[in-house]
Amino acid sequence: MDARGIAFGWLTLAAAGMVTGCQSAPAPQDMARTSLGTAPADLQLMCATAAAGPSGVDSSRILPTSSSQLDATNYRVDLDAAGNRFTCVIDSSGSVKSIGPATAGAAPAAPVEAG
Amino acid sequence: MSAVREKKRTSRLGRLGLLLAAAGIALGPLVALAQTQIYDAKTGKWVDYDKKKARQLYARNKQLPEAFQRQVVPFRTAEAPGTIIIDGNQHFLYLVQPGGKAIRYGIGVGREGFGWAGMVRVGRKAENPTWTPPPEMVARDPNAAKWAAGMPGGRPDNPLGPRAMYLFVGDSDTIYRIHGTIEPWTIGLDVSSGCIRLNNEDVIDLYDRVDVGAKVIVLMQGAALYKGV
Repeated sequence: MDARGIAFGWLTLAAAGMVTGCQSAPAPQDMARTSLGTAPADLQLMCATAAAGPSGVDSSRILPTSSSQLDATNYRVDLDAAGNRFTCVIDSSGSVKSIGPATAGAAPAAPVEAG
Repeated sequence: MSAVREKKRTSRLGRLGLLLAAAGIALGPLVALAQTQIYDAKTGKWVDYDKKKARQLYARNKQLPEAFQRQVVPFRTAEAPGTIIIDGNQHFLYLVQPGGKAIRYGIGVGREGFGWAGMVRVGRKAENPTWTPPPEMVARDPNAAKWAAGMPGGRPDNPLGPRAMYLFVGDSDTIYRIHGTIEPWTIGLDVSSGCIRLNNEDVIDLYDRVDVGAKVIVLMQGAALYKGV
């Protein structure tokens, strides 16, 4: 995630905070969050499963490598399909909106540097 | 933390965000930076969750924050029940259950430079495991060096705690494990040398539910080291 992504993550969290500020406390399962704004793990894996067809790679060899929240309901998930990069957009209900090879103009995938 | 101090800290974080955004435009991609927050039900506010805060809360409450306590959550996946999914960024381990559910456990994961991602499996399990620090840890940590030949299991200072599940790629040990801890307040933090730690009650619960051979998927944004992919 680049710095703009981090800033977006904080803005998203701040907006969520304003929304929840006039609502009841979050459910126990939602009482932690990070500034990274990564997609929920199940959505990341749903993208990996969906990428099996277009990539021609068995889903057991497709690993989500990074993700980010695009807007209130959509997430972008970057995938490593046996060395080939794919990008998936999925909404919070689990519906895959698009999937295909990562293009040169797309935002960069996860930096290749130890975490 | 007082409201004034929290406001100042929030303001500092806001300025930090702007600075990072400006730097990002100039410098391009940066290594992922993350700040975990937890919801404080007493104050109704989100608070930063770091080592100091975690230790304070654990000393006061004698338990983990609710988000990191074991619980059943909805989990939509095509992975088979019994599969372990580790979300290193959010500090959760999911054990897939039938019916679109998972048991979620709070975890501690690798600190900066020690994160990794990949697809591995549980190669073996052990009760009261012997802790044998890897050569790299022996070289950098004097406390580990004195146990280079192995610390017996069952000792109260054994960092693996009461159970360990050894992660393999194929037939090779990755040196990473899912294990217990002698520092329960570190759950929810980036603290380890790459192992996945749970509190001891949780690691016993997980151990009893997981079979040798179980698939383990580790998600960790920004991690360079991919195993089994």
